[in-house]
Amino acid sequence: MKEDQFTERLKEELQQLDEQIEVKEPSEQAVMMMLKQAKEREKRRFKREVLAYVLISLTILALFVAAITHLPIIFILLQVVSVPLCVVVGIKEYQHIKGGSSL
Amino acid sequence: MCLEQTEETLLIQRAKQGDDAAFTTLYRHHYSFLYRYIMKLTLQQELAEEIMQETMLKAHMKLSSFRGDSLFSTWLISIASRQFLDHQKKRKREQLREEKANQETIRRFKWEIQQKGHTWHEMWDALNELKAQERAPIILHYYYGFTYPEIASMLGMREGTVKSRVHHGLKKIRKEWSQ
Repeated sequence: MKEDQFTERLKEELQQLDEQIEVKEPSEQAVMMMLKQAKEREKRRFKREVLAYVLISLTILALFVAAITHLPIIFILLQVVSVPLCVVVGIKEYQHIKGGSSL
Repeated sequence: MCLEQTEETLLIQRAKQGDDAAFTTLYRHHYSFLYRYIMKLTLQQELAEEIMQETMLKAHMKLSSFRGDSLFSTWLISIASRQFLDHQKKRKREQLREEKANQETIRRFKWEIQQKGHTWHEMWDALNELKAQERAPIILHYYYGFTYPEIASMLGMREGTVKSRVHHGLKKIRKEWSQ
């Protein structure tokens, strides 16, 4: 089959498939409800993450204070661990805000 | 439901300001077009509905980034395509477990079409057997008439990659047909 015939048939069969698809449009209330639920989910996720960040920050701060005043070597080790950790968390959060590979 | 361009622009502005009713009208207006596109990609009603929901939520979240450089429908189709590709990536990990269920859903759709006295074309099976990254650009190019640069921008790929995926996908379908 020639290229043109082939692509023509492809288009025709896609058109036929399109005609076979039945669409059940959701009601206005259903869409509004989904949006409301999504907003609530997002709020809950935000609160959870803020709480986690605050706890992690306080823990790191406490460890740093203890380490800098008592054991400087631990302070250096903590920096080695925490800096890449912060970078990873930052990248993940950025990807989440950006929506993965989505727009 | 038919929306004039100016009416759509107004609805987009209102939705950007947080008016959920305006967003709902926009979404419902484009629902049929978008659902048909996703059904052509997946051939599975449940999966298409799931991707529709994800697309709606993503569009709602990202609405402020819509600058009107393209049609709103094109923007939605980009989001839906990427949601579909992301979904397929995630599913790949669970593919073996889900494969049977997917085949069952497709068989059901096939049965519904045949029950209505219509023919199930081999081409649809051949399309469905392609990789998701090949299927999406083929449908966007050959059915919706988007150009390669447009598809590249919609799917976040390079133009060369899109061309090569379309080429390989078509080659596979031709091979299926010649058998």
